[in-house]
Amino acid sequence: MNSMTNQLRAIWAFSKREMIIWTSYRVNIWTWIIDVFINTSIFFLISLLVGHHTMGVYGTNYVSFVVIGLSIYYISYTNLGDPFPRVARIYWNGTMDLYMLSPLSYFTPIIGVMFRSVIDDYPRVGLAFLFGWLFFGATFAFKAPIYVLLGVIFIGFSTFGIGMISASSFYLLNFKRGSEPISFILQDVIIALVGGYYYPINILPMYLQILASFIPHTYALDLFRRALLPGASLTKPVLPLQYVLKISPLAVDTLALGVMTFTFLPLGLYLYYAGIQKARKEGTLTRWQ
Amino acid sequence: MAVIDVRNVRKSYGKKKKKTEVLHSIDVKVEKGEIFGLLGKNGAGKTTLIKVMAGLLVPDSAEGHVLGYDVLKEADRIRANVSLVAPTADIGVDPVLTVRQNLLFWATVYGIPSKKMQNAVDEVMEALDLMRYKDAWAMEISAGTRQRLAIARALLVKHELVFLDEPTVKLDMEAAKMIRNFIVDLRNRYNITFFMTTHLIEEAEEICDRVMIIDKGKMKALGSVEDLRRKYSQEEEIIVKGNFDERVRNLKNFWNVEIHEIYEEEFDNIQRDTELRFKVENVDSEISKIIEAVKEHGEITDVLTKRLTLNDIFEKVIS
Repeated sequence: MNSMTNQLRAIWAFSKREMIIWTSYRVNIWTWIIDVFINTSIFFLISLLVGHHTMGVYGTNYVSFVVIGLSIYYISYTNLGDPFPRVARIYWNGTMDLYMLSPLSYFTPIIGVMFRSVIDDYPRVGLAFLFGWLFFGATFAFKAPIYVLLGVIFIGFSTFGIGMISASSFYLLNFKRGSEPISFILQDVIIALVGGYYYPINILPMYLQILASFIPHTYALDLFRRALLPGASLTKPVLPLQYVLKISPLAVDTLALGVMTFTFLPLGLYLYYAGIQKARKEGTLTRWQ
Repeated sequence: MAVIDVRNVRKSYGKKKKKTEVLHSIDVKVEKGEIFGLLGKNGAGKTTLIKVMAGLLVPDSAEGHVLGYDVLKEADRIRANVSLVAPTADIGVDPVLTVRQNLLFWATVYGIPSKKMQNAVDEVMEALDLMRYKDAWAMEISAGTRQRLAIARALLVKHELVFLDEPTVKLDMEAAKMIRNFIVDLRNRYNITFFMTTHLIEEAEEICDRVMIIDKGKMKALGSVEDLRRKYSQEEEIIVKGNFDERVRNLKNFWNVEIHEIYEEEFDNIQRDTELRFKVENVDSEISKIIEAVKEHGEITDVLTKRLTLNDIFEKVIS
């Protein structure tokens, strides 16, 4: 029963359940659309100030530049930021024991419960592109589809890996009060500062650019902007690693993302597994005792 | 073959100086189709023992098998083959899904094939009298109905072994009675083994084939309610009231009997009766012999029996 098909069926059941719950709050859909629209329009207004000459190798359209930043932000917000609170939710509502008493793998329930955010956040990517293009003059090209596809896969899995490292701290380090330092330091400090959602990171001091070299967002944003923005350069290096490795910037981005994916994902899954085993020894799988 | 056969279960929480031993070398053997009750006060170790046997908690030590799987080495297989109903019905019940949606969700989690899912859900809803609530949101149904929904969830896969942790806690008497009836009915129909903890002694007395009483992680008593009654039976009594001659005192040669004179005021008359209190090991086996013997010495006006309840046994064992 522990087959992949059954795990996928269970994830589908979770996503259906989360969809039913999400749509049961009818006002959700309106706040959701308005929120994306307002976010995009704020950056359109900023673009009026910025003008058309500060994006360097990423072309000249700031709205397009920021739409890609927003998209990575939404994906990261779910993949990196969501595992910890979802584990906390499963723990506090006492269902971890029940999921453990089923043929599901340790990871299926958390991936399943994350679908609440997937439903909420992933479509925002599409909406941001749509609003940017329809109302605010954003333009996009499609220059390197294979790199884009690999970039999507790698940024999804690498941020999820970091998210699982963060989630594992719930059991491994007993952060049970609703927040933990790993995702805070990464998401709210380092990524917010040097991730480059809203500005190219080459405007930062070199030590911050080097710090940015250790997060997947830097490479994903560089890759998507080069591959999707009209007028963006496919050859001119910007990131420190692109100066070091003498290959195409898109290849550098893909390589870095791949290395991070194959580092963070197994590490996150292993630490989460170790956390569950620790909780089984300590009797702290759920708050129900 | 025993469904549960584990020995020397030990479990402690905390580290080094703050270590608290919760289970001290407990042995449990439960046969197929039994309803086995685990009794104990708060903190006695009941839930810890359930979690160890269900493979949720790693014990400090244990030997033996649950459903034929090694309790230490095959905990994952045990977990995949047992069901559990948590002490509050809200655990595992999503309030904004309907009763049917809740069950369909769990049917997928439990890996029931798509083609069989609807039937499995309908069958447990029928069995637990939930059909009329199938489209009601779980938040709208009563606590008793939610508890039945929780049990329905646990029975979706027809596991041989179901752990019930205080299944009637927070329910009123009527709802609790209904749940107890369901448990017995389900055991009779599907030969499911139930291992349940409860605070309610009368609940265990009513439905459990055997009970174990634990206190501070140690087993204090084990057996059927009748076995325990026999073991702690010195306190059962047969009380015979009536007007008897003096020779009734000779019964002391055969039984442990106390004789009391009772004066009752009725209108303006004072009624004098004699009360004979026979201390016996078993009311059922002695009562006819005693009545025959007493009748030879006068007129019997009343016969009362004071049987040992499981509650009496529990108090005695714990004290």
